[in-house]
Amino acid sequence: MRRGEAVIERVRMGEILVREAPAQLAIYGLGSCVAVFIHDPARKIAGLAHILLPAPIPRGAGAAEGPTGKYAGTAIPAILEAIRGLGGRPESCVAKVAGGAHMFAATPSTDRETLGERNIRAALEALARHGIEIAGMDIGGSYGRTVVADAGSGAVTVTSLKRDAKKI
Amino acid sequence: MTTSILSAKDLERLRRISVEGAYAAERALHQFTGVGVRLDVAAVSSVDLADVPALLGGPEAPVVGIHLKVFGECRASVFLALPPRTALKVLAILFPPGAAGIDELSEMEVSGLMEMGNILTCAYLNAMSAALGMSLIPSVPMFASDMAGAVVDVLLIEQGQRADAALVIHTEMTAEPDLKGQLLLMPDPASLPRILEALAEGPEP
Repeated sequence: MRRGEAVIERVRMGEILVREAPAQLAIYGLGSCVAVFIHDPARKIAGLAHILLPAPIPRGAGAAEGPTGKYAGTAIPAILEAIRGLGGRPESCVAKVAGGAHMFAATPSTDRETLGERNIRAALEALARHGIEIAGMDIGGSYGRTVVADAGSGAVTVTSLKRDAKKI
Repeated sequence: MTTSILSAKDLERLRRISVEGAYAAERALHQFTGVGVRLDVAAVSSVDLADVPALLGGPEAPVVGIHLKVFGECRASVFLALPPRTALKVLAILFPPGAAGIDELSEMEVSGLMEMGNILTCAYLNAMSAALGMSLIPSVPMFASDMAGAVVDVLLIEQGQRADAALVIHTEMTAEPDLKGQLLLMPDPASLPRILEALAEGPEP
């Protein structure tokens, strides 16, 4: 898919992509999953993760190993490592977070926290643990999002079926 | 735990049982809507979680989604995805002259669509339950209208705790002239051993 000149690369569920400018990275149709975008503005390197879950369940309980991008706890250090590998500096990185919606909102839930809320909390905690500042968020609600992120400018555009596009 | 514990033979047995479910759901839908609807089991297979939205027309395709959880001896998720055009046609049949638009459905119209999902799912599960000899009890239906990827991802998150692929029983719904929908039935990975046992007790395919 192309928007303007740059090719937009899709980040599938459970995946991480880390690229240099002028790359654009996208997640289409994000619901309760969480998009974490980490950007090194000086080197113009960025990573995007399409996270499903906070952390793996304990081993031996039938846990799935899965791709690194699947869990907030593993995706964020993996992006920082890949940014470092491309010559970036994790200590100068900032992050943007989107998603974590509750799509079947009309149904009363007895859970203290929805899956989306758990994912957001886990992503924010993992970013804080690595000392990454949050530069923007578009989280929660009960609608789907498409996220397109620019490795050069660090701009993240969030579009949805029911709302106007916004830049975070 | 992976879906690979089911052999090709097991999948074929499960497909045959699913075809019985699809027939039962066809009859129930015909009674509910008065329209002849075809349900064809497209595939019973292991699908990478990231590939599930593609079965529904792609992650950004707008869908009206009806979701039920299944409890009992086997846990599972059921998801019925209707393109907005189809959902509007269904509403025109149930409540003539129909809804103004997919983004402005009344409470009654949403209930009508959920009831359709409920009837379809209950008929499907009853037939499967009889064939497998195990209880399959559906929850109340849940409703969301949005991008396919966004609506289905919570089901994939639940599957994803224990697996990277889901066992998907994919049934395609069609009716003349252009009603169509996709029904996905995904047993929880933890319930696969119980399904395997039930299949082993059945007749040879």
